[in-house]
Amino acid sequence: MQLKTCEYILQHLLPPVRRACLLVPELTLSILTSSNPLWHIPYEEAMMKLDRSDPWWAFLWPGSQALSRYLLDNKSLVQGRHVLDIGCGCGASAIASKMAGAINVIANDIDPDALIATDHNARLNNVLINKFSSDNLLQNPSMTLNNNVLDLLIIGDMCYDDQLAQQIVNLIITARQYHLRVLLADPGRHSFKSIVVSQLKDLMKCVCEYPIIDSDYIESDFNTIKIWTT
Amino acid sequence: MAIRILVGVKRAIDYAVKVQVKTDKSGVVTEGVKHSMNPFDEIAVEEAIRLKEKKVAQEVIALSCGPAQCQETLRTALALGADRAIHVEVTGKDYEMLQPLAISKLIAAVAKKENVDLVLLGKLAIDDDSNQTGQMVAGLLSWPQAVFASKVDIKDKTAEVMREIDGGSETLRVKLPAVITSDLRLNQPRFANLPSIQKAKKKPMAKMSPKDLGVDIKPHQEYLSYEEPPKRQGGGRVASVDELISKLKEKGLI
Repeated sequence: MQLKTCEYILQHLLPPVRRACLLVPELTLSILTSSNPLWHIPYEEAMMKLDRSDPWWAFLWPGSQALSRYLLDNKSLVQGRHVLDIGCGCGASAIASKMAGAINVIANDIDPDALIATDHNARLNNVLINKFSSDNLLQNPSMTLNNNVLDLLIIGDMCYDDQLAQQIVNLIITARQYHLRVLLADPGRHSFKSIVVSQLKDLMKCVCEYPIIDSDYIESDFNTIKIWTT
Repeated sequence: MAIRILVGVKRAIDYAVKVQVKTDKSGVVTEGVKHSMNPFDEIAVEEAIRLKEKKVAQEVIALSCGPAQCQETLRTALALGADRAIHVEVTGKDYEMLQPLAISKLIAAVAKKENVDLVLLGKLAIDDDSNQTGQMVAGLLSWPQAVFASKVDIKDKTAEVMREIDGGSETLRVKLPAVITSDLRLNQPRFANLPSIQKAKKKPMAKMSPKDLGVDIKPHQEYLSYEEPPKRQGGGRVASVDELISKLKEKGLI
């Protein structure tokens, strides 16, 4: 049973972190970083303190860092446009879209806590997210794409197993049918290479690459994050 | 050339749980009981990761055999620093009857398939206390073994292993590939924090069955019954040494 609401955690356990990461110092976010004592305790204790076992939204993952940086550095991609952030997590990319001039941003995540966190974090950055959705877009993209005016889909680091990678391929193909552009971040996951790139190599190209410089997120397997676009 | 290591991890009843025998004596109660990585396997994982940090090892593969919940144990190994995980799925009655010989065959098959230089295991699991798997894996592969390791040094495809034995300690030198099992004083394992567990959820986890490995896991032993240790009887108090002596004589003990 969950005793602590996401709002409680955001208010009391995750104070706003200014300059949330080195790559995107423009963002202030209520996330866990190594400056928070919860970062340094055994994971079972941390999960007990948060009353949650899967708080993806409590971190600013490299995929979101790279997407946010790319959007802020290429504002023409989103200015005046309608954006859908799939798997928004803490909301960094959705917030960056708004900061870059998107006219309408929908934040989507199957975890309702992520939507609460995104709303909270947006306010910390003096922007408002226009709509929140918890639809499972990977399983059923058409409903959301049918019911909203959209120009651009942004997706963080989600191609980390074969099943997800195949769902992302299907989503990208569907997006093309709706004439939607897709922007996706990937650190070099095996499933991304073997499934997404191999099936969509003519449809997608890598447009940018950022180093993973925050010590909080350095992993032995990956050094950079690439931005891909259709 | 940096070596490649296979570490076996077992999901066992947590050391702090008060284990209860089922009323039908067919086993111990596992439903709803806290499980965690076998403590000796935590030590084995730690040793593998330290070897990787020293650049003696280039890859650490974690392996576990059992039901879906084993993936949690494998995620912990990934969070501690293993590069990828292999889950050999065994469920239901097959899992209840899974014995060290079958596990050893599975580990040996994976070690061969992955062409590793070292198999690192806990010396025993705290649920069945068998202390057989490491030895049998070495036997099945015809590899040298160094069990109850309290120190491991690897150089030039050779391992020097200090073992704690009754008389003190002995040091063995074994050529790789080999099997080493961890003893309590080998190292003090690190713990996984929340960010590393979340990162581990995106690391590769392969799933396979004993059939995929060509292994027959048929049990060869039948467990007849499980009993709790006899309940401690209350003691008595005596007022003097004389009374103690007469009580002992009474009980025919002296």
